[in-house]
Amino acid sequence: MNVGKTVAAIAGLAALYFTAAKLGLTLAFLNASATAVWPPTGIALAALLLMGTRVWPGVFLGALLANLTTAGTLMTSLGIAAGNTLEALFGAYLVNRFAGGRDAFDQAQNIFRFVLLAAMISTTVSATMGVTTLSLGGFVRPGDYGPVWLTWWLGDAAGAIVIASFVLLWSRHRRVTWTRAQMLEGACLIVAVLVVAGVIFGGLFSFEYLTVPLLAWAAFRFGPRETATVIVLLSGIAIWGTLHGAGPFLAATQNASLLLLQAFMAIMALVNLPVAAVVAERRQAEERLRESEQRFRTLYQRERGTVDILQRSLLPTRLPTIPGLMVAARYVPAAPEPLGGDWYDVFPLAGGRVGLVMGDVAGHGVGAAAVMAKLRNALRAYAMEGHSPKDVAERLNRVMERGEMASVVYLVLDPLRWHVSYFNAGQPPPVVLEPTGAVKFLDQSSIPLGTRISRSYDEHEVDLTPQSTLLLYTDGIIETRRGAEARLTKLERAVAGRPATDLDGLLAYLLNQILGESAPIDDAALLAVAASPLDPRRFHIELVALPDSLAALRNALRRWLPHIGATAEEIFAVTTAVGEAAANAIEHAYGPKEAAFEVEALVETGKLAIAVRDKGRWRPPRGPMRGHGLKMMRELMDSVEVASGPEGTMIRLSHTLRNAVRP
Amino acid sequence: MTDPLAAVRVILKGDVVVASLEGEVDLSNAHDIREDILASIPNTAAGLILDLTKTVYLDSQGIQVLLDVTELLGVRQQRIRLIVPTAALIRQVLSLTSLASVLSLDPTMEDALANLQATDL
Repeated sequence: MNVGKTVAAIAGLAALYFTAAKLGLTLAFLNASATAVWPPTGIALAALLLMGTRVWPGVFLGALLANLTTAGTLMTSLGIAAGNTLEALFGAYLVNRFAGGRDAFDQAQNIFRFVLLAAMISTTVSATMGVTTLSLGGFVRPGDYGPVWLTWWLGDAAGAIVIASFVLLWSRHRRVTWTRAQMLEGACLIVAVLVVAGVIFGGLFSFEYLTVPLLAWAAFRFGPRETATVIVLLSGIAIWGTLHGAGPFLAATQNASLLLLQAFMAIMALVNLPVAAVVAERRQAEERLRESEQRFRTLYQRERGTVDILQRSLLPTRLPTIPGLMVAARYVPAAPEPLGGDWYDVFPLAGGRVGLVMGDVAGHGVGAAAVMAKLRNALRAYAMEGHSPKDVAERLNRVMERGEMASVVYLVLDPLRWHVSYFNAGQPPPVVLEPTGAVKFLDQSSIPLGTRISRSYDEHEVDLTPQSTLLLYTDGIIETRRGAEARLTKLERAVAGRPATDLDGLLAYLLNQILGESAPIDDAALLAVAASPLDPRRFHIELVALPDSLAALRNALRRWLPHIGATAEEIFAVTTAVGEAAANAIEHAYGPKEAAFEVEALVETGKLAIAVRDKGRWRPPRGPMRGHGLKMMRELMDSVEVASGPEGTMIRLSHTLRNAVRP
Repeated sequence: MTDPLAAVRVILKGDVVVASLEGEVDLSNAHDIREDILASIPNTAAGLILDLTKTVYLDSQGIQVLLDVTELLGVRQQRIRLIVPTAALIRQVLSLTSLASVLSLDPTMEDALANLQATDL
């Protein structure tokens, strides 16, 4: 606050103090300078608390002028003004030091302290200095010292409580955010206060305790600010009524009546203001609790969203097409909320083999999802680099940080030989459903990854009966609150004897049988792989135009050709010729997007007609040996036709089977 | 890394390198196989016997590898023999492309060793 503002504040305070003092002194009945109603004490105290003690000259000036223009001498006026000023400074000091300062009326504890320190103790300064000064000046007879002092003190105390609370509360809480209903209720309260106060202090029914319900109303339905307002209103009406000779506080003298009234109002304020403060505190606490609950809910939902996104982005959106194989998967999030950390993966490997993964990271939430992301990507990378399951396991174990733990089963399936090599670090045993309907478990397993107990993992090799179905699952499938054993048996029973012609149907059936209507207590994932049924009249495959697809194509042909009765030489010849045609499609598949090619073979009356189509253009042989592919196809097949158009190139191969199978 | 489709295993028989090509050779791994074979022959070796007994598949790119190796060893004045058993399916591919005359094919290790010693540079 700069000097200009300070001077203005002092002048304003002096004017206000003077007006209030003159008003109070009109009610000085016992002595011209001592009155039972003294609002200036409250004004001075509030002003010093709000604007700082530097505005004290305002109090001094206001008090001096008010007293000079009323009674006594300059000396008595100076003494009284000094007493009033010291009272305000002392009171403000005590309240600032011990009772929460300008926010004293926001807490019940501080209100009691305020009453004791500011209303009861600091006011003795003004009363003592004022009355002593007047006595010394001869304006108070020695026998009257006691009653005048009491009047003075009580007037100051009531002023401090009633006026300071009103001014401080309204200054510190200026914003009124009432709803329409609250405004209506507020109007009702004011009308009720006016009517009830009129009845009591107009003398119709002189029962002062009728004011209690009104104050309770203000305290419970509104707040400290409104309660203080009702007290000020009631005080004003009470003084007016009492001076007009009506109401419950009529005593022998006007002064005695006012003292009784002031004492009553001070006590009403002392009781009701803390109640209002407690109610407001509780309301604020509830609001804060609601806010923090909301904040936590938002945070929680944000984390859930993150887990969801991670989980979604890491599970394959579309399972890869693996020649000769059917693949199906299901992911059922736990109820009431998904935990994250489970994943499955399917990816083609060199040589027509396929990698199958089922994993479960310990823990849940964003942390588990992040570990899962790391493991999923590391596993894919190591597997595609050509590492064996054992090496993959040991490398994965090395990327685990302290405190991370995961169970993973990784299988490499060679669908041509139905050979499986795998490691199982703590996952439930994969199920093998044989074509006969018999159920077996791949039950070799070791401890989970990340335990640091073991650094070496065993790889297990199993030859499966061709046309078996492999089933991988996380423990969410078999885990119940009653333990895993019952569900495992249930899974075994459910899967036994189920034909594996429709994997999606199989998984839906299993989920229904094992979980029923209930959602799992942990996230549950299921992954099934089976050989796709062979059609003895038609072979069809579509592959990405990349060199790695050639092995997959050969393996698919090697699986299908025996089915139509081709001999070993014929299988070799067809595989080689189609391989050349496909290599051509791959070599010429240049383009911005991933190109594909397809191979279709039809068998009719012992004749095999094969078409290899691509979306590129047939490129004439380049270099001395480039023509070998075409030459090889011509030598190996009965006929070779190359048709090149704007849509792409088609190579037609035909071959007469030596001993064709009649379907 | 190890090529899951094919592997080249190398042993030394005196001053002759015997490299066995096991598996399948196609467009996807022909280049790597070519490098593996060439890396197996030191300048000091008298010659190379490339054993294709366990080669189950060989496309035109694989044949190109055999031609490249043969040509390069010729330039380096090193001898080369290929072992392809008579009954091997790939023999059919090698013979029908009339490459049998360019490549030096032997049915067994004994023939290959004998022919390698007898070959004039």
